[in-house]
Amino acid sequence: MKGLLRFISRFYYIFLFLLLEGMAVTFIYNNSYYQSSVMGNFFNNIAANIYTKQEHISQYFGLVSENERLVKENAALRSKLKTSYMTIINDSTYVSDTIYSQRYSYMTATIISRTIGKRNNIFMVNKGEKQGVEVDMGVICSDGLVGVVLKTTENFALVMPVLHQDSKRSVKNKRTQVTGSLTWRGGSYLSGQVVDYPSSIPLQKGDTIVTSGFSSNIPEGIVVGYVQDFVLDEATGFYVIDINFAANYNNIENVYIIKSFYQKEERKIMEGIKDE
Amino acid sequence: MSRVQLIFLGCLHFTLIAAAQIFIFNNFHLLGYINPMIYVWFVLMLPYKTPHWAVLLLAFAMGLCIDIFSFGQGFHTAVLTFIGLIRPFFLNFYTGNRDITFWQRPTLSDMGFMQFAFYVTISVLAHHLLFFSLDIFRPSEILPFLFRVVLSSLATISVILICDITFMRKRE
Repeated sequence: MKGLLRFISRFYYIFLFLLLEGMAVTFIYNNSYYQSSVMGNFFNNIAANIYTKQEHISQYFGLVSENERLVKENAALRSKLKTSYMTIINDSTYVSDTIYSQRYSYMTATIISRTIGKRNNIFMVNKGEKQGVEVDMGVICSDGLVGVVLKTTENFALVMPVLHQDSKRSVKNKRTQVTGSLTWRGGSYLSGQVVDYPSSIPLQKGDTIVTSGFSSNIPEGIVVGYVQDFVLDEATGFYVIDINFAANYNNIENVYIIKSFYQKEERKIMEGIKDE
Repeated sequence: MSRVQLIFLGCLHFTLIAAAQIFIFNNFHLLGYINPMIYVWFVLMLPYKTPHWAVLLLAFAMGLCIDIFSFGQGFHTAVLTFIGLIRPFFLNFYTGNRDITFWQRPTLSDMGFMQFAFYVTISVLAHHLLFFSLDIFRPSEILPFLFRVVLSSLATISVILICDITFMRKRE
């Protein structure tokens, strides 16, 4: 008994370690893999509020480049005015398609915090359920595709950018309309890969890769990146393409969250159909 | 220096290092993905005489703080607590026969360059290896994994050495 007590008093810290490590492991396992982003809404809100304050300060430093980007985008949008009309209500912009039934509406949001260097990255934006953000909405920025909404709270939302292993977007070559699948293998946030791209139609370096519009939450034709290099996978006959992302995910600030009015209907028709 | 002062200094270190990690170094991405994790330094530089339980609790608190602010799942907490556990074993090599007052810290000026660099290198390598094993390890991505461990460790070690030389000068 005395020996046991002495043992415990000498190595008590091992028990403390096991207790603390147990708590940490519980944190890890309580976050299911897909929703693996935060440690609960309480902490989430503390972090979000502090990041909002930080963003208010740091926004000033990026004003010049952010303005330039927005001016460029305005110019691009102006050039489209002849073909599609738009009304502006508050900070939402409504775009109608050619049969005059509204398909997408855009809501502005600001990224208040992000991770870039991890294997699976997460962005936090300052709009949430109160402003009408829902899980699975598409997110783009003026330079290109960003990702989809992963999780929402009252005032904030977490976005799964393309810099995440679960992010598999359908993309196509703007010139030849051949489709492939966008993935990210970790590493630099400047480049990603397109796989499952048929090699039957020739591909050129510098080709523009855009979204295909196959998934209902992101419109067709949003720029994703530019072909930098490609190799033929002999086993499958598909190209593996390295692309440079059009957007610099490390410094974009303003994003658009896309509401798709036909998403529910498009989901419904796919119900019960096996993926593979 | 009294014990109260020492605790106050500890709180100051905690806040400064956590803030530096969250607001400055989490935005550093050399080559796109190398991100120095200087918060390890907080555990490494606790005074030699800090009791085991205090080292573990402080490491846990620091890890939790970093996890909350970088959307981690708990990896920082788990790994830093482990570093808190093995720290005394690394330090035992250096404290063997020396007389140590309660406020002395394992710093460059206290240990000498080679020993301090070795201590930091071993601890940071252990930390990064474990952290990235939890975070990104996949058998198919073994090369990017090793690449990232080595480059990130180098970045963290250099930042810790620079910070130590700058902020932890010997008081005359």
